[in-house]
Amino acid sequence: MDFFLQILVNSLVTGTQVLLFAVSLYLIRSVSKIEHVALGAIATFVAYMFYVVFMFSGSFVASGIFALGWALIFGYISFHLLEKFYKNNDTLLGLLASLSFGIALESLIGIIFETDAKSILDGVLPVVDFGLFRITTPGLITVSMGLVLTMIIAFVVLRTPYGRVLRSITENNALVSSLGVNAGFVRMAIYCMGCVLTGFVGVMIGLNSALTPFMGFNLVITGFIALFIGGVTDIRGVVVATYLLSLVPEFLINYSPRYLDFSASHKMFFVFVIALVCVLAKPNGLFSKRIRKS
Amino acid sequence: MKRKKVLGIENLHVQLGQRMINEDISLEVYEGEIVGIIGPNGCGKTTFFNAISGFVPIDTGSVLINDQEVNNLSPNRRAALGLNRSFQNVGVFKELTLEENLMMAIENSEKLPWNWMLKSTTRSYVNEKIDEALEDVGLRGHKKSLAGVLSGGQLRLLEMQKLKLAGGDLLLIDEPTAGVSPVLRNELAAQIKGLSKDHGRTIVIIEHDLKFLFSLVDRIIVFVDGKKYIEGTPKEVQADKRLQEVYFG
Amino acid sequence: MGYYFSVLIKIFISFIQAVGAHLTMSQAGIFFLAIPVSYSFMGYSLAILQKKFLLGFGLAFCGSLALTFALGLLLSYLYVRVSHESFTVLTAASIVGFEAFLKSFSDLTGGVLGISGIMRPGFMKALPDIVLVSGCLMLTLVLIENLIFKAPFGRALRGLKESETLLESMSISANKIGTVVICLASLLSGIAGSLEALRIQFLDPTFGGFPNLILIASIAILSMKPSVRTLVLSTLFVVLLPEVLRFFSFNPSQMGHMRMLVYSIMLVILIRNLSGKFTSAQRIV
Repeated sequence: MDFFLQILVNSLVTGTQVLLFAVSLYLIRSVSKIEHVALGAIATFVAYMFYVVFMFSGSFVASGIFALGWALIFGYISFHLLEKFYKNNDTLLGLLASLSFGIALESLIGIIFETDAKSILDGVLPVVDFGLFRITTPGLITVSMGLVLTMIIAFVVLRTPYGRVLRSITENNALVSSLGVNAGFVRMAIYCMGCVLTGFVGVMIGLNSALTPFMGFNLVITGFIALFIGGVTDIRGVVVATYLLSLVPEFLINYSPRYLDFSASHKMFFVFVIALVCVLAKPNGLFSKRIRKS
Repeated sequence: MKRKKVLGIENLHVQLGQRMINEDISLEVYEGEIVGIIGPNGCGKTTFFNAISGFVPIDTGSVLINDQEVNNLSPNRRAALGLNRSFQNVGVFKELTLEENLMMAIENSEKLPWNWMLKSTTRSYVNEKIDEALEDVGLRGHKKSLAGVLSGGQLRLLEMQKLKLAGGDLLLIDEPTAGVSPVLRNELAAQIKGLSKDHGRTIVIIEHDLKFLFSLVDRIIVFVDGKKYIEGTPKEVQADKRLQEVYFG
Repeated sequence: MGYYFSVLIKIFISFIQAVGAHLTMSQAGIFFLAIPVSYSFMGYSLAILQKKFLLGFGLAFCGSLALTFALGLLLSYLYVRVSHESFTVLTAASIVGFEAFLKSFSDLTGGVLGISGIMRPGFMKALPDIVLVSGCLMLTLVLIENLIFKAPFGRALRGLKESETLLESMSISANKIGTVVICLASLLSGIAGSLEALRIQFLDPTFGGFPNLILIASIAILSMKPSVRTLVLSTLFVVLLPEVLRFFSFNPSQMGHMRMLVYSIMLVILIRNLSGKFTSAQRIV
C-alpha cells in the first residue's frame, strides 16, 4: 500500500507538471488555434534564469521576480512571433514555427549553460512526511498550486464572461472586437499567462530535481498529446487525459512483471501507445459524443 | 414512353446534432428534367444536396441514383456513378490554373490514363476541349492564370464549364447566382439550359432568385422547415398562398 | 576530399527525403511529421536484418523496404481515421515514441548504445560509390517529381490541400490520394535513412528525430511551389548554410547546438515570411 501511494504521489507531481503545460497549451490554443509547443523550452529557459540569479543572490524572491520577468518577455515574444500565423490562418505553420523556436531556445541553453545537469538546491531536498508516503516540498507546492490554478482557470473559462470572450476570439475575431474587446491584447495576455504558468513549472522542476536543457521537452509533448486526446475545446478532457498519460505509464513501469523489464525509458513509448488508442477510440476527445461531420 | 428515373429519394431523414434538418422527404427526378428547389434560409436545401452527394450521413431513408441505392457509398464513389455538383462557395480550385481545373474534370469523365500528357494526340484533344470550354465563357485569356484571380461571376462560369466537362447524368447546382451580377446571370442561365438540352443532363438547382429559376425549370419543389411542402410547375407553385407568405411575409 | 563527398551525399540524401516532405506538406497540405521516424526505422531495420538476422544486403534492403512500406500504410490508416490536427499531433508524438522504443528494447536495437559496424554492400564500399548511388537516385527523383507535377496525381495533391470536399465531388478519393502520398514519403525517407546509415555505419536512438524534421521541413516549406527546381535550390541552401559554421572555431561540443540554432532560426524566419504568401496573384475577396 505504501509503495502504491508513493508511486501515486510521484505520478501526481509529474502529472500536475504536465497538466500546467496542457492547460497553458489549451489557453493559447483557445485564443489563437496554435499549439505553442515552445512552452517547454520557455519553461526551461525561465528556470535557468531563476538558477542564475539564485546562484548569485541566494534569494528566492529576487530569483522569482527575475524569472517572472523573463516569462513575461517570452509571452510578449511568443505573441509577436505567432500572431501573423493566426491572422493568416496558417495554424499548422504556427505549430512548426513554435517547434522551431523551442528547439532554437534549447540549443541556446545548451550553448550557454552546457548540457550537464545543474541543481538549484544543494544537498538533500526538504521533504514532507505524511506517514504512508513522502513528498518533496517543491513537489507539494507543484501539486497544490497546480490543482488550485487549474480549477480557477477552468472556472473562469467555463463560467465567466472572460471565458466566453476567450472562447469566442478564435471563432470570430472581428465580431469580438466589435463588442469592445481588444482581442489582440487578450491574446497577448493569454500568451504571457501561459509562459508564466509553464515558467513556474520549470522552476519547480529545477527545485525538485535538476536543470537540463531539454527537461521541458518531454513534458510539453505529453501536454500537447493530452490536449488532443482530451479534446481541444474541453478543459475537463484535458485534465483527465493529462493524468491518464502520467499515471498509467508510471504504474505500468513499476508494477510490470520482472521478465518484461519495463524501465523509465519506456515511458514515452507508453504515452504514445495510450495516445494512439485514445485517438482511435475517441477521435473528438474523451468526453465527446459522436458528432457528424457536416 | 417511360422516362428513366435518374434520382429517387425515399423517406429521407437527416439529423445534425439534436436538430432534424430534413424530414421525410420523397421525390423523383427524371432524365432530362430541370427541377428547382426553393425555400426560406435554413430549411435544409443544401443539407439535402449534401445528403444526396454523401457529405452528410443519412439517418433513415434512401437515395437512389439511376436506381442504385447509394446510402453507403462515399462521395467519390457517388461521383463516379455520374453525380456531379456545384457548391455555394464555388466549387473550383483557386490554387490551380483554369486549365488545370478543367483538365481534372476531363481526366475523370473520360478516365484518361495517368500518363496521358505523354501522348500528343490525347494532349491535343484535351487542349482543344479546354480551349473550347474557356472560349464559350470568354475566359480563354486566363487559361494559364490561377483561378483565384477571377471574379465571383467568372468563377461561377468556370464552375459551369467544369461541370459540363465532368460528364455524368445528374447535376446538383447550389445557388448559382449568389454574388453574380444581373448580366452574368443571363449567361449562367444559358449555360444551365445548354447543359440540359445539348448535353442531356438532369439538373436539380437550389436558388433564391425566383425569376431566374422559374424561367429555367420544368418543376419546382418547395422546402419549408426541412419538409417538402409543395411540388408543381412554376405557375402552380407561384399561385400557392402560403408560399407567398413564407417568401414575402 | 572525404569532407566534400560527405557534403555531396548529405545534399543527395536530404533531397531524397525532402521529396516526400514536399509532396505531403507542401503540395497535399498533409502535415506528415513522422518523416524522421521512417528515416530512422528503415536504417534500423536494415542494420538489424543484417547484423541480428544475418541476411545479405539485398535481402535485408528489400525486407527493410517492405517493413517501411508497412509503416507507411499504418500511418496512412491513421490519416484516414483521425482528424488532420490529431494526425499531426500523433505523427509528432511518434518521433518521441519511436526514440523511446529504440532506447527501451535494447535486445533488438542496442538501446542507447545503438548499433555499430553496419556493413556496406560491395558496390558501395567507398564514399565515392555512395555519392554515385545517391546522386543517381536524386536524378531519378528529379525526373519522377517533374512528371508527378504534370500528371493527374500532382493536381489531385494540390486539390487535396485546398478542398477535400471538392476533390471528392470529382470522384477522386481523398483518402486514397493521402494514403499513396504518405506511403511514398515514408519509403523515400526510409531509403534516405538507410543510405545515411550505410554512410556513417552506426546508428543510435538520436538518428533522425526532431533535428531531422526541422531540416526537412525547412526544405519543404522553402519550396512551397510545385517546382522541382525550387526544391533542388532549397535543398542546397538549407544543407550548405550550416557548413559556413565550419569556418568559425567553435568548441566541438557546441557545434551540434550551433547547427540546430542556425536551422531553427532560419526556419522560423522562413515560414514567418512565407506565411500567407503561398499562392501568387490572388484576388483578395
